[in-house]
Amino acid sequence: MKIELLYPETNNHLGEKGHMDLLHLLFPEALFFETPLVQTPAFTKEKMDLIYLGAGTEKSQEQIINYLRPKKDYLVEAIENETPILLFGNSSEVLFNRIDDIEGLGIFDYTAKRQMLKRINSIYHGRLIEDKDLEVVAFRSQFTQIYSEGEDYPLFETIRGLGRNSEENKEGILYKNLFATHLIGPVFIMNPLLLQWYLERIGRQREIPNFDTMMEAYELRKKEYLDPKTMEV
Amino acid sequence: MKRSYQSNYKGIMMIRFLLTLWLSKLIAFLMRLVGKRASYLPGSIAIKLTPDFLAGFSKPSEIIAVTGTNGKTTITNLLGDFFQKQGQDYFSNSYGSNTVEGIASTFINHSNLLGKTRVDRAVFEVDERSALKIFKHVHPDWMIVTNLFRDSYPRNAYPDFIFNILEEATPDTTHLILNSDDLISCFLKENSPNPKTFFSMNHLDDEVYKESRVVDLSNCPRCDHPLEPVFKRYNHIGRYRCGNCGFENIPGQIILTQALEESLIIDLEGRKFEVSAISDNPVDRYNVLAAVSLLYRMGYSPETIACGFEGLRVVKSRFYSLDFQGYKLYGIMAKSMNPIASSRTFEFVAGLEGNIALVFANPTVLLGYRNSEQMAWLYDLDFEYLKGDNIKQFILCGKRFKDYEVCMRMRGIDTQRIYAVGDFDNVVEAVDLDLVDTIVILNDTDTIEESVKIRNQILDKIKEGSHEN
Repeated sequence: MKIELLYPETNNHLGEKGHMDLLHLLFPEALFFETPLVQTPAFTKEKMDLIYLGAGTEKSQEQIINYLRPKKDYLVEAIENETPILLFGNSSEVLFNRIDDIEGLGIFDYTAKRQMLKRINSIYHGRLIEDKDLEVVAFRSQFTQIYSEGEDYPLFETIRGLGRNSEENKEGILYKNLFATHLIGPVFIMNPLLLQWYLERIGRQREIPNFDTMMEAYELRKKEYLDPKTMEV
Repeated sequence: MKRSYQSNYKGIMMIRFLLTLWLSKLIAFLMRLVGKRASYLPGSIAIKLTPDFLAGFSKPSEIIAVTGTNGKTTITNLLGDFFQKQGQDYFSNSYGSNTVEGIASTFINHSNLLGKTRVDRAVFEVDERSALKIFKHVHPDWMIVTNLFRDSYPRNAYPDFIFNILEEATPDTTHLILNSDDLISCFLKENSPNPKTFFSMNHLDDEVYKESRVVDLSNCPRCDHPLEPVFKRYNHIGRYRCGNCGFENIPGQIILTQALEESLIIDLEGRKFEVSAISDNPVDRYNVLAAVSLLYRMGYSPETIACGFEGLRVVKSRFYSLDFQGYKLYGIMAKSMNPIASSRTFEFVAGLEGNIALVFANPTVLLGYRNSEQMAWLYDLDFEYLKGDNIKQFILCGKRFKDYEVCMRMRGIDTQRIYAVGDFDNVVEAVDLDLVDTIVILNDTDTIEESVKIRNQILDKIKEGSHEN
């Protein structure tokens, strides 16, 4: 198995180091490629079994767009070929049409609008659209609101907390095996059932290390989010 | 020379300012009567009533600001203690809030009924996130920027964001005292006319580098290629060069060259002098170096600076240690949501002797129903530092104790040593006094009260007599 961690030296914010650890724990047999900004991504040279990109800064978004633009076709091919791709935090925005006035890669018909002096922080309680019994608990901490401009592939619907923008209760993108969400946590660590669902979806079912403790933390948080006294922001 | 009122702050605006000032002074007076410090609320109310409240004060002729992610409080206290020793008056927010509300409260408490400050020098610890609001009306003559690291995600996002705030907020006239070993903050106002002084610390003989999990800058700021270390101190702090474009750190002008047992040797542009150390950790060495750099630039002689720093130590709320019936207890600040400061504390704990119980009494407790604390920061902590055999118990308490447990298990902490007890009151029972002789209690600014309670409960348990070591 081959896993590519794209730009881990810049895109490791908002707890995403945890997701990188998790991938190593889940797939100890895998060969990991850690690709820095100036290096050509491995997925342009050979087939990857999983591609991961974590949350970064506004500056790193622009850098990534510039470095990935010449490789866009390879990325589109990987997405269409159902390569599992994980995008957390603001990293999916580089695939959008625009981030404010910055032209994105234009792979998905969304736009991100920044509000730099009004950070959006919120608890998040939602459910997976593909399996509405599967509830998700997480946080949101970001500068952008996301708007669909065409075909929409929402991942979650929101029960409590903010959706992808102040009007919509949808969140994230699920397209083939591309899983993208602005939620932080780390989301898969905070939601072992969601992780289990994704592993099954991509045909990589396996025992999740520390599953029971993760579930205890998940249940505690879910109970807290269900309590109406718990404020959303 | 006193600064005058802002020229556009006249007439009806001035009347509004004065009415707000008098009301907030009354509130501060009443708060002090009931034993409160009045270091936030009066300013908060004043700014709600008069948003440009800070503009109304006549400012002291010399304003010193201290900002950056880590070290602000220590440096502000060092400077305050120095001026006090010199018999020089100053006022400061060192025991209050460092946000705009705290600065406003400080002005309320140190001005007369017309808004004229009584003392001609101010030393402000400035929350870097609040710089835009504060520096709009309070223009520092001098500003130390300690460093910029990732900090609270919900509030500070990441260093780039804070850098941009400071870049925009800092007046072009402020003399900046910058850490040239920090490749993020040292580029503040790079293209502005601000006078700048750079301080730096040579690689010292007693330094042992431990790999840090989080490095906020590892690529060249000019060409994005990976930087090559000349030496790394912690996280992204150190000296680097770029093999691709030749970029390297700005040279320091004031350089810490040597650390002796209880003192530091500092090269002040060719003139070496010795100053007391406040501790032997690198963060505190930088704190002393930054303060010395400022005072030297302000015109104090090396002899005066050395004399003023004699006997200074880190304040007790941030660190204490005590010996009791053969046991050693430590209380150390490890601020929740600040992974860098907490990891530095881990490094210190890892170096302690004895068999240690480490109590994580630092998750935020005040949030209650207001919010649920984000835990992403846990995954930035250097738990690897704590894998030595000297730490026998990891005691996890507070609302987020299960999140700590998940994270620590994932990072390979021995599960037999993890005691996830939940409630703060359960900690004392978990401490095994037959197994450990050293108890370290990590606290946040929010949990000082809880950590003191835990300490007293542990002391009582030792006192019970069955546990004389």
